[in-house]
Amino acid sequence: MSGLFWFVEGILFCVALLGLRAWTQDRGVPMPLWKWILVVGWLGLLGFSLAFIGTSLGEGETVAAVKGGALFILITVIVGVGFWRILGFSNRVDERDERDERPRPAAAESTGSVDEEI
Amino acid sequence: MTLDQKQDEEKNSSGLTRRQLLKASGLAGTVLGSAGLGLLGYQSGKDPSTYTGNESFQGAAQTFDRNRFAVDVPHYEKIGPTQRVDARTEVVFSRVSRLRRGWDEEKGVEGLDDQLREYYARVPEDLETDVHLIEEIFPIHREEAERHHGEFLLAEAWSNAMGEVWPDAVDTPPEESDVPSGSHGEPAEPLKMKSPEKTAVLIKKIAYQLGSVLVGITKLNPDWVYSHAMRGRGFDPEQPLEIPKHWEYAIVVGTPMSWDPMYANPNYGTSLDAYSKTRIVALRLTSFIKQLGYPARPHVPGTEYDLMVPPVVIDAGLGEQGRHGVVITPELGSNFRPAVITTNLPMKVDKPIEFGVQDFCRTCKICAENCPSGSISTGKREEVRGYRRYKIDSAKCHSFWFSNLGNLGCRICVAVCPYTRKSNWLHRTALKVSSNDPTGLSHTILTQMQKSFYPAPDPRDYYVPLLGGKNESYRKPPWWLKTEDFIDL
Repeated sequence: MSGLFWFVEGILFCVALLGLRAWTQDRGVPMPLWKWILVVGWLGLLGFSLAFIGTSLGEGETVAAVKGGALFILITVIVGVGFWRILGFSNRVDERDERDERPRPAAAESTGSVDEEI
Repeated sequence: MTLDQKQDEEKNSSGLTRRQLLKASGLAGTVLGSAGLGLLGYQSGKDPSTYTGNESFQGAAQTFDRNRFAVDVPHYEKIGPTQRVDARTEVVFSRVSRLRRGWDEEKGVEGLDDQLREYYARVPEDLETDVHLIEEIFPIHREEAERHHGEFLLAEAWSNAMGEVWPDAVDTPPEESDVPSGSHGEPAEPLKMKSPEKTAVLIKKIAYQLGSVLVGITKLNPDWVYSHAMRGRGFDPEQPLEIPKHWEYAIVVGTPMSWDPMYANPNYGTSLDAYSKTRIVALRLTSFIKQLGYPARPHVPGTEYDLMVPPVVIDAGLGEQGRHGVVITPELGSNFRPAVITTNLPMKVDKPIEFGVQDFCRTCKICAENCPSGSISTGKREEVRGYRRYKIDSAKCHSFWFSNLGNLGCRICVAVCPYTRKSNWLHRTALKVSSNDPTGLSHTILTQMQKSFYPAPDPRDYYVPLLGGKNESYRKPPWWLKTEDFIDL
């Protein structure tokens, strides 16, 4: 059961990262290795916070779940907001402008509408 | 438009493009993965298998890597001339028992026997506490017990049931009781063991098989043997106890108390629970050693022992003594009830360990702050019979045993100790962090988290109502000890 659980968790984790990759590509945010490390670290913090709450509830320690959960979730949110800015997720690149400035491939079929390429 | 882009644009049956689906899946993966960790945590917190000591008889619970924390000398320091404990007066159970038999209010101290007079002259504060106990507390306890009896009926029944299997250890002198008698076909001469190393491995394996959760071996320090025996066991309590030559080694075995009742102390937990299990392990291991042809004697609290057990547990490398006087082990925290077997079977001994407890206890003080009787010092370690350690006021501690209801004793200090936690990922991580932190910063943080996240009742509330309390327990009792849910009172 434990092995199966971590197998599924691994798949979900990979899917989450693939989704993030697609999302950052669409927003034109470059993602070098250090950014991925920060993202994984934040996901670890989120997982720890939720696991702490679950474990405390399972132990019957409601106060620990509420107080500890509030503290760790708050830390997770603050760190998340900080990372969001550091990683450049909030600076949406105007892809249309960027792509307009790129030289177009000569062979590309184009009607002239930039919407095609999005 | 490239082929990939075209495929990305093609909408599936749900109306999403492949790319939109990938991003949505990523979001869903994050949510589901996080929820899974939360649920795993819940399961981990609830799982009975995380109660160390309940897993198996294979030694699988002794998980802590002690070698990394081994030291050549134990954490207590010898700082003056040492003195063995006189069990007749310095052990509170014997002293109060003698006092009850001999106390006459009109005669006062003068009516007591020589040993008690000498002791109370030396420690007058204990006279006040002990007399207050027998004159004031005992009658109140009887009255309250009658009034609230039904409330703790199942807890008391369970405790008595655990104490029902309580085989006698020894009642004859060591030269008779300790030596192999031949009744089980023991050899006339000790068998030749291959090596002390192999013998130690064998003895530990056998102890685990017999049900011990932790096992350690040490040379017996004579300072830990009582100067006068507490309850006979073949010794004349009025004569100095001469340590038998074959008490060369000490094997420490032990088990934890059941975790949920232990957290519901002082009313619902019981020491008889673990002591009865440990006693059986010790008696069986004694028998095993004798069948190898070697003498052996079990010392099994709470009733039959000729030595102070906690320092032997420390010497055997199973843990460090905490501020509350109880040995803290890495696996079980303070929830460990040990016994000792003394023998001359040659074995490789274990080294004491230091895994950060002294530093942690120096600043934590949670046990002292939550002790209803104020028996635990909040100050520094001081000299006690030649050794540096935290001083415990055993008279006050014992007095509180009769100031609450339910099962005899208190054990609040065991329940509130930050080391006494379940063996799940959360507390194992905290233990690893605190054990490997030389700065002590984590100790401060973990102590603050313990105080904030795991609140305890006001210590006064543990008392019976006639003494100003509310019969409170540290945590709620487990469902199977709630009398009102099963019995019409």
